[in-house]
Amino acid sequence: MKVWVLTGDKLETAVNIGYASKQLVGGMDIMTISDQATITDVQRKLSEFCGRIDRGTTERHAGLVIDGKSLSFALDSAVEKDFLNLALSCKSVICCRVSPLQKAEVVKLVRTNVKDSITLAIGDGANDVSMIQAAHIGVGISGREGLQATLASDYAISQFRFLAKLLLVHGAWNYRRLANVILYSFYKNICLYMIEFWFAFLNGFSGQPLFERWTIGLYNILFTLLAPIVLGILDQDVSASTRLAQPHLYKTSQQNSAFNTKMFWKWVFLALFHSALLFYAVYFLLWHETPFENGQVFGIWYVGNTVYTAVVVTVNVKAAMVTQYWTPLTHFAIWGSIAAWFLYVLVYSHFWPTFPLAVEFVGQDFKLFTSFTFYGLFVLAPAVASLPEFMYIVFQKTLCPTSIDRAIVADVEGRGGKMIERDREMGLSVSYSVSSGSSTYGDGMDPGETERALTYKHGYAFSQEDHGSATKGTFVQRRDLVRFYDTQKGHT
Amino acid sequence: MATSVSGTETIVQRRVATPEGGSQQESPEKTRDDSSSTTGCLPRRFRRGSDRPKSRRPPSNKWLQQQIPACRPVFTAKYVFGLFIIVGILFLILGIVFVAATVGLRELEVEYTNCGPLETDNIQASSCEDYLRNISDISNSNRRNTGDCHCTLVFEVKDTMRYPWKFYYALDNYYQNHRRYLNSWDPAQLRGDNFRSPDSNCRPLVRYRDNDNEMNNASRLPIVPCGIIANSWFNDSFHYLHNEELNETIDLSRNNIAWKTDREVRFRNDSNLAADLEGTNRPPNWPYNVSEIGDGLGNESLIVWFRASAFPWFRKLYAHPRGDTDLRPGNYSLLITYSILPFKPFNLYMYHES
Repeated sequence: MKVWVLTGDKLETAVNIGYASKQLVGGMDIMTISDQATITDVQRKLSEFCGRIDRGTTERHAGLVIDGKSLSFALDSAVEKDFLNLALSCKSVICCRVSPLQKAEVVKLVRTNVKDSITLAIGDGANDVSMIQAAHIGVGISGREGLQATLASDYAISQFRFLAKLLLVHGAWNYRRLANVILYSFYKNICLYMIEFWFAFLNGFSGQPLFERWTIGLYNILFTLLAPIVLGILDQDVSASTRLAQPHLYKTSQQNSAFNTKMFWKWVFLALFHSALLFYAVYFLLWHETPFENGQVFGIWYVGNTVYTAVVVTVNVKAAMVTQYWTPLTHFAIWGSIAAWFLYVLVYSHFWPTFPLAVEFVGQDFKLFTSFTFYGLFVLAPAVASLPEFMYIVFQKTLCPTSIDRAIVADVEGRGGKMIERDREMGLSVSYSVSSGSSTYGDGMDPGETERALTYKHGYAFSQEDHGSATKGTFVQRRDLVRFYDTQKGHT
Repeated sequence: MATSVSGTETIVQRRVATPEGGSQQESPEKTRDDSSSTTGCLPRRFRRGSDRPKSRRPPSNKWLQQQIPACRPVFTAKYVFGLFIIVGILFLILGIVFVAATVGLRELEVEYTNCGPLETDNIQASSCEDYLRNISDISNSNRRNTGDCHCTLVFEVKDTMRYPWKFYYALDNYYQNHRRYLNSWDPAQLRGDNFRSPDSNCRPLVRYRDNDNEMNNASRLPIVPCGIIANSWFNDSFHYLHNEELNETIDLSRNNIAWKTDREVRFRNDSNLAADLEGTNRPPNWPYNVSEIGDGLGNESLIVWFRASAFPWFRKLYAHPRGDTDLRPGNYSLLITYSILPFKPFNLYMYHES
């Protein structure tokens, strides 16, 4: 993740802010392109700096500072590729004195030329609006300058430091939640309706469904409605504090690990497997059609309801296996859905003839709930369906856990790590401490790289006030005072 | 946004962002240059009472902060091991129960598709099957005069079928689960409510007239009970089982073979149908009206037939044995009366089950 600073401040201010926020550190090779007059000057500077990079300055030690005037040359189509290459080779890029249009252009430059990039722009003023809208993700800070930035943005936060939580915690959580909801929705519907397909082999492909039509209709509305909702709203894999303390866990979100083609086909295959297994389990159990003690036979609707019960339970058990965060609402959603099916059978079997509906269901509740085979199937079928996947999950999490799996275990055991915030009010420095030994969080240094000493300077940031205080008086205003000493101009 | 500090009077103006997007100015606070009461410089949190600016902090509780108390399952081996053991033992017990319940089950199936020789006087055929196939005039009321075809089936029972045992008939390759077959009935009619206007689902067996030469629909009478399911009612009768050696006869009782809810809720259960059936007709394949069969629409054999099966082969309960006798080993003869409802040839199996 690269962080670039695009500011309207002067070069000195921007550089100071860079030091204050640890974008630039002492010991870094700071390459400055400022106050270039022509495009050829800029080109020369760029090639000079590119040469320095080629000759061995590593990414961690390279910083680029460019001001607005030179940037307008650098964004020219002849030069922009070189500029981008140089910028991407640096740890941080600081652009100062940029106009709002240039901010947007820089973002677009990265967005269009860097393949598979995701850009995030964050700003708090009206001059950031174009940048926010140009990026993939726009974050606005609602604050002193009003709400223009937030009105144009995708996400609005109230303080800059909340960006860390927005990305590392909520971004990661919501990625996983969204992936789960989508994949689960496909899975549960394929599971049910493929059973009609398996049944078609037995009914002469006449199109007769195995289940009564309102039962089918209420599948997505009553019996499997709450599970994806709860998966999408409440589920957390790793707790917030651990995710903040171990930022490397964010990598899985960046790598499309939860929602890609392979995952999709995995879920679809699982749905097909479950549907076939549930149908044929009931088929083999009931094909002689005499499960009642008094010898009475049952018909198509009894078989259909048995299969449907197995499906509802299996699908909710699958949701139970996916969710990692069991709130009371989750319990209600999953076990409640199964209970809702039983309640439904109980109630629906008595509809006819009071209502002109569900004549097929008359007597089903009594026959289903007094049959030992039904209860046996109700327990066995989902267990058998879920067992292979459960075994696979246990093996995978024990023998080859991913970093997320390890973080979850650390979380549960209380070893997740805490983010230590120092000098929060000054916003000067934030550091992370991890107490778990198994994390791979590190500085990203290659082994064997000789380290040039990087020292972390504190910076002091001043900013000019644009509007000035309404000071009555005849003495010189501060802004005039500061501008009097313009370091850019040569003066005596 | 720096505040200016100076020795003279200053007016501090603060801009507060409001939801409307604009900004309003708070009333300026005048401060005096008195070090003991410089409320303008006092940090917010130390101001007292009304001086404190209203907090703009949004509401926050466990729900909004996503910190609802919850438990996190861990799926590594050491946490899951106990669960596995428990579930394994429970399912083992369940399995043992299942096996134990089924190990004593005995089944006897006897096919009688080509049952012969025939016992009826005026019928010359090798089996009822052939006889029925050759009857040409079977689609109108003359069928009553064709006479039933009886046949005696002899089979051997090897092991004792202990009481309670049940008698089923089974059909194979019969698609009662076909969509058009299943939809072809009128539940309101079976309940006794709707004799005159059968449901259109029963098409084409909604209206019928004997000697049906006319295309005029109006002259056709509504069918009770309408539809294909009723029309195809399988009505072979099995009369008794006679054990040659022991010379005892087991009668079959046809009570209590249908679901109780069917008998009470779905099917009209009386024989006093004749009056209500004025102006209606019987299904084409039936030689008699529904009022002429025992219990009318509540005939248990009819009810059992209406409980359509899910698979293209099925059994239907025919009878319980009268009395509580076991079925002892030996040679048995069974008298079968073939129904004269036209049936294409197929395999018929007869099952005993204890």
